[in-house]
Amino acid sequence: MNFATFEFAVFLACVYLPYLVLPHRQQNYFLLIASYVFYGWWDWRFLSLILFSTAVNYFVGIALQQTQEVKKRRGYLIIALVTSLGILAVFKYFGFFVNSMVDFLELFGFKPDLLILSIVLPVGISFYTFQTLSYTIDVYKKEIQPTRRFFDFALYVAFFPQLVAGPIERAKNLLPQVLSPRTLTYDQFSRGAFLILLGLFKKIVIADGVAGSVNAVYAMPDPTALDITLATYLFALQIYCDFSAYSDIARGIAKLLGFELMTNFNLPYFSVNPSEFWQRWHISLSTWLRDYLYIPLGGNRHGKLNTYRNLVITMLLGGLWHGAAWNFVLWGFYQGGILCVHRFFVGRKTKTVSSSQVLGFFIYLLKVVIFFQIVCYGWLLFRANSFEQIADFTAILLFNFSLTQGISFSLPPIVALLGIPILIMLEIYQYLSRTPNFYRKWPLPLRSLLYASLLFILIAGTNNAPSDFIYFAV
Amino acid sequence: MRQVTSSTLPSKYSPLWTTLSVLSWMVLWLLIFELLLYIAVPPAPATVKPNKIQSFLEYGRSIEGKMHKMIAPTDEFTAPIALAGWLKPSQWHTKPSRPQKAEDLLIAIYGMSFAVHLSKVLAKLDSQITIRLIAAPGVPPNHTYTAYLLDKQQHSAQVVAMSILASDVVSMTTLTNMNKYFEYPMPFTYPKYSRIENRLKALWPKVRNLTDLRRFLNDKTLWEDYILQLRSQDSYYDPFLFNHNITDYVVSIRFVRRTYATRHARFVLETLHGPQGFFEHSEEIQVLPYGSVISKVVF
Repeated sequence: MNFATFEFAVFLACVYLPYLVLPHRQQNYFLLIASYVFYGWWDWRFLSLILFSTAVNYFVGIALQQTQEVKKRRGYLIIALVTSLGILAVFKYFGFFVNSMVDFLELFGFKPDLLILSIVLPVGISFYTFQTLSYTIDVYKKEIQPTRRFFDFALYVAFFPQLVAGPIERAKNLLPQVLSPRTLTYDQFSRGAFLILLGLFKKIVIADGVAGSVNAVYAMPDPTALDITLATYLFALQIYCDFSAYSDIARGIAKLLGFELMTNFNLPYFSVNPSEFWQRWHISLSTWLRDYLYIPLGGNRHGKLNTYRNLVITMLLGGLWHGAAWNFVLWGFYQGGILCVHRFFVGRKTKTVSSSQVLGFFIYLLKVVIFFQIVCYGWLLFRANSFEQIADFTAILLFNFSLTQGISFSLPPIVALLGIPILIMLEIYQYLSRTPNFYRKWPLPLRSLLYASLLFILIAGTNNAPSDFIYFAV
Repeated sequence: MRQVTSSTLPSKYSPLWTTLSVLSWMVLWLLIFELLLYIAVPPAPATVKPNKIQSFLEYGRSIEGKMHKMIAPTDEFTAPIALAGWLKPSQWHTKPSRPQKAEDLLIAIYGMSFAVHLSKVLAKLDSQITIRLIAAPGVPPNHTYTAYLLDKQQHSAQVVAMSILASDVVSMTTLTNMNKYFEYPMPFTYPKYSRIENRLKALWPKVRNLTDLRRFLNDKTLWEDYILQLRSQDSYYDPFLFNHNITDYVVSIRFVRRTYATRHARFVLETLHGPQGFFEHSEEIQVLPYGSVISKVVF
């Protein structure tokens, strides 16, 4: 069920009103059922996977608590890791690896007859696998106590606002909120409603609005350099608005239910270097990778070369997490590469420039613009349909760039073109005021003007061709 | 769950009061937007091509509202699109009824824009071909077939071509192109066919030409009669999309109506067509010759 649909609005209304009047324990049972209905809406067979993964990690958590023997504890952890990652490997990567192996062997003239399965990718499998793993690893590291309440744990895994596209919540943040009675404050309610409005605006008006133009260029046999540049800028907007919209709506719905989910995006395109970018983009994934992959690999503790190796491995796997295709691997490698380059030249310290100094501000702006180009080339790798397309597009950009070529695709609809500057202005204001709640300090008429503007443009944009959230495929 | 309270940002007003104030202000701002848009982008007259913003704001006007705007007492002030597509054989006398030379070939072509392309290509390919073309925008097979029936006595064509676009087959359960093409309704009409004991039976719409339409639009009883017929016979008819009322003057409701029209069109399509093609039991496929072939068309 897509957040940006009428069906979901009906579902949310049906869930929300009974939820408000139920006592805490019943609320949890009710939310769990609602979450399974939400997930089963795609395909009820997917439920068996999430139930299995939940059960394994729940029992491993309890087993870890009951023994202090290192060997046994490691064994339990391995069971959880193998089960969770095994499910992910089979359902997400099996076909990819088999096909890659076939392609590789064919290069040497072999005609392999390997088992090829057509497995449907269960939505959100990457998200809930990482979420359950973080629980088990934290219990193993004795950073949290495991819960004995199975249904509460199941709700932590399947909590519907963030189940299929994050944020990937840590047990230490979400589980206590599941276990304890929740309070809904007026501020939570109003902020939640605003986040939902903002998320729908980003998704429906901008992401869905620009999708047609991006798809057109990436399907063209012979686009111009200007086509590729503009389409890639639009894709940068599309993926940001699509993904951050999901996080905004998820956080908004969670707030309406009395939960607080972590911030997943914090103005990522205001970054001046890759390190800062990954502190602002998909924060729940980047911190997960840092805590459960980069640091266990050694982090930056064993010299420069090992640090570079760890960065590249982390980002390669992070790229592969985004999808079972080589362009995601390449994108991950690219991200790892630019992190290494940045680390090599600049080190870990990022010089902050005060925005009050005019010159400093322009230098900062220049850095933002330059780094945005680097990010956008990464999006080209991410969005491309094949390696050939990456090579072709890169060659066109490098050797055939001209501003006089014109564009050969239809621009996004008026409403998207109107929505983009509004979003940019809001983000600039948020950046300068250093708080996502900037609008709450405004006088009520001005705040209402913002709500009314977003609502009006959202209504106008509802006719944009709807599409699934990009990260449903992750 | 505890009561809703104000917490982190204490306000001197209660949550309920604040919410009501915000909602009232929002309504006021939305009204101001409406007013500003009306002043800044007034609707274009029917005979003038609207600019992109005017079109964007007008797409969601009701079909009836659009008809009132498009149809003037004379052709001169009527929107050009409203003049197209009427099944009026008396207007077809100007078209060639025999080949230019006795040894040449006359081909009669009926259909929609693809028929126009076809005729242009044929004429280009062979100078010995004379084309008699009767076409209108987005017409379904029932319009094409009726045009052929009405026209067949008026020419000596050895070859007749009827072009059918798969996406227009779904319009065979309509009487006019007004309802299917919500954003650009075309008021011309055509009969709807049903198969009774292996024979096609035509159900003619009450409005048969533009003169009829003008008369009906200005007569409440006649117009309601026509709407009744559309309601019972036209699969794309929907009262929210069709009926002209006060909501036509509100831009945001026009946006909502436009979105609803897209959903409605998808819903109608899904009753006739699935991932495997048209449903074989559907009215369209039952009526069409070679229906079982056409039923495999997927789009």
